[in-house]
Amino acid sequence: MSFDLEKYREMFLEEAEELFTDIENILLEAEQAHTLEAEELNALFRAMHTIKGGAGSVELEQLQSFTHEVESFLDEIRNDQIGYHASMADLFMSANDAMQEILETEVDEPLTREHYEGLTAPLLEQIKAYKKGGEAVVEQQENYGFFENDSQPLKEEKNHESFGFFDASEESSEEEAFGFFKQCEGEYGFYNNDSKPKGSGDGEAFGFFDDPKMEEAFEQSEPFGFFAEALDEQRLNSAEGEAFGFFDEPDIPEKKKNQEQKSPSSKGLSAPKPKSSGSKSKKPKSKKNSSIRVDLGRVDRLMNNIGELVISSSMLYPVAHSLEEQKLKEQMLERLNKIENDIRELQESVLAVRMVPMEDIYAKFPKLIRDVSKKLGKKVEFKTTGGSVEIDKAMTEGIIDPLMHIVRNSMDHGLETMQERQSAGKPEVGTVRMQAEQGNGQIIISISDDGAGVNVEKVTQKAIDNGVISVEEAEDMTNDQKAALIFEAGLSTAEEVSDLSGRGVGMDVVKSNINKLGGVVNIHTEPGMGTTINIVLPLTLAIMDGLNVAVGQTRFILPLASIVESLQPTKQMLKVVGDGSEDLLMLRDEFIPIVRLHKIFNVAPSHEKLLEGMLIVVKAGDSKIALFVDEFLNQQQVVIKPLDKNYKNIKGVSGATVREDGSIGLILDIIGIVDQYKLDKEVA
Amino acid sequence: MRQEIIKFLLGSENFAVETEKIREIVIAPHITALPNTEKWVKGVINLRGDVVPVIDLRLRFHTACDPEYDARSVVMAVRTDDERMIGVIVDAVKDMEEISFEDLSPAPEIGTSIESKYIKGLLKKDSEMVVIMDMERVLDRADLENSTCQNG
Repeated sequence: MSFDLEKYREMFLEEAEELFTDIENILLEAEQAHTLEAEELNALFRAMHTIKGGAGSVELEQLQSFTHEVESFLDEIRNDQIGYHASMADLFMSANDAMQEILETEVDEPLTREHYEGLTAPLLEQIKAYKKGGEAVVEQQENYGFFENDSQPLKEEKNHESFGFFDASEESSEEEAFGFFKQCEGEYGFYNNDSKPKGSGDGEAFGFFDDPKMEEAFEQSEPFGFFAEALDEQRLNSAEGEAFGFFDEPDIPEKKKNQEQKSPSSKGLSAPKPKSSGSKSKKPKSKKNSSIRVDLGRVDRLMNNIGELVISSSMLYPVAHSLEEQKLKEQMLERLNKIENDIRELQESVLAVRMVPMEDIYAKFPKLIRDVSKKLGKKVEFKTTGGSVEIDKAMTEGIIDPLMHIVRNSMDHGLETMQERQSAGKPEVGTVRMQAEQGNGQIIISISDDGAGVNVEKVTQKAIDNGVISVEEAEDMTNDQKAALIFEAGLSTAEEVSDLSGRGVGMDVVKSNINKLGGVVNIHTEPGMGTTINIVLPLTLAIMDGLNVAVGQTRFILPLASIVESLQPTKQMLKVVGDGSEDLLMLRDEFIPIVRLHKIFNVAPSHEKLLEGMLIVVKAGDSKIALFVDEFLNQQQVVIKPLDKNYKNIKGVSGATVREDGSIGLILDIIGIVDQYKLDKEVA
Repeated sequence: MRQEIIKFLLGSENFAVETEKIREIVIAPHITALPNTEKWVKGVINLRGDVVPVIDLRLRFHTACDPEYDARSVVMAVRTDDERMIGVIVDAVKDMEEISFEDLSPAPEIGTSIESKYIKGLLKKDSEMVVIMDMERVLDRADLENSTCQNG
């Protein structure tokens, strides 16, 4: 039983993740549009309903119960019992976040009552308030980082209103209201006086008060105003104290005073809306086509079966060739060819099953952009292209984190503040663009921003200080090579670690994660113009084009994508430096270090002399090396089988494959070999 | 609880493992050497399309210094609890037998060629002694990774 439950939970988790993303995107759109179309409302309701149902069936009671509340609220909106108000988008967004957190926590360990209540109570309060208050006549405030000049002037005016209101209202309800404020204050010290009754119960908003840098930006952002007004309006409309659940707090009078004195800091609401920050991609919301969920392991098994089939069919060729009768032999071979073609098609179809469009990855970002821009007080437009480019499902897991980190980094360090942008004569809304293209058996994802560019001098200096490079090395480096130093370990140049980019992972982790996927990363930056980071990944983790190379009795497989050129060296091309321990290949104007494959892998070669063998120039990132091998053989498409599935990763080998004759070929890890070469050189 | 074991030889010593752990027995498959690994990691084989590492137990437990690998060598393909498939080379595979694990005597600290932590127990029958190997421990993932790193 419990085993089965685990299995279903896993399925549910996957499904829920997609639903959360769908919900986010519907809400982001609603937030932009200030309305929620009936169709979207229904989609939202269905998504919530599915989550609730799923949560129930896999025994996640807390998730179920909270989702139930949200769902029934939605239902009332749907049935026109409550009018939809634009401000609800934010509430639902927070609810969606809370659901995700409940789910994540509840799956791992029992979720404590306190934790659950901490997450849900403020939201449930809001829902209750909406239900009571009917149509709260609140202005929609969808904008995040906006600035003094936008909102300040209106503040005062509004405050008068609130004062008036508070004075006029009856004692008891005031007390209740303040009681609620107290509640907020209890949890988040500094803001005791800001009226943040409803709404921003969401921990996210509170969370960033800790960040002093952010404080200012936040103070100016209107969620304050909004909540204050929401409260006021509701009170005006309903004049019912119970709208706010939790009162009975001590020292109410004092609180009240505070509230009154401090109210000025809560701003006016009817502030003209600044231009929308357009943080969303033009992407159709939840597209529902009929599909089934299949475990990747099953697809792999299918691939294995096909591999077996290839081998079995290739074993028939010798049989066919051995047939005496010419006519029969021809017929047999003809049919075998047909089978071979069919198998190839089958293989391609199975591979296609593994592929998902980049859109699925892009869909994770609007929410991130919204949250981060809210935190940073920067307006950011997120643009994507190449959504239909397909990427291996097995790769999506590994690539999302690095991408998120890069985007966060671009927004935090790349994009300037709005004032800076204005004084630099740039549009105040920054742009982060993500694009994907495919070609040559590779997929290239680039993330570019139109920010200030990497501070190359600072990075270089830091790299020299930390001993990552020497002064001489720095002199030889191009601007982009210097910028690429941000991917080295221990080189965070942020003056202070912000809670965004300082989340424990640095750009070095981004790089190593991408390398793990067999990809490389490079960077191009121009001062004042922005930065582009390109990630080049193999199209799939499952299959690639390789070249068989022989070293003695061993045949290795070299990824075709990493090969620059191959040649038989002549005496003039070979140079020896220093004590003769290192050979260089002079190729046109370049000197390329030669690495003897047989030495790395400790196998006996047929040829020791460079002139007798072959050189293959390969590249990994910006580095090139020439691999010395005995000879190269045929080219073939290989199905990659990771070694660590059964065993562990081995230096210089990125995986293995089963060839058509049933033998195993080790696939060379060019990135690893190049890194190893650099390392050895440093030691020597 | 009675359980079926399969007996095998390492040098002259009798060993055994639970039959349920063994997925199949392969005679002298073609082994592709793996570079940069410990001496007792013989390489990888193609087992029904899966790339399976092969460990020479004779080298792993020092029952031989330079054991032969020829047309009569035997690889037992072991399926571990965490779903890995690993081949182990032994000198010979003998018969199967049903035993009761309660009858086992605890592993002695000395007297066998392998460390006691890799032993589940000893089975004594007549004058014969069979060492029941704890294959999960021998093929433990962390164990394999660490031991190779040291020499790698």
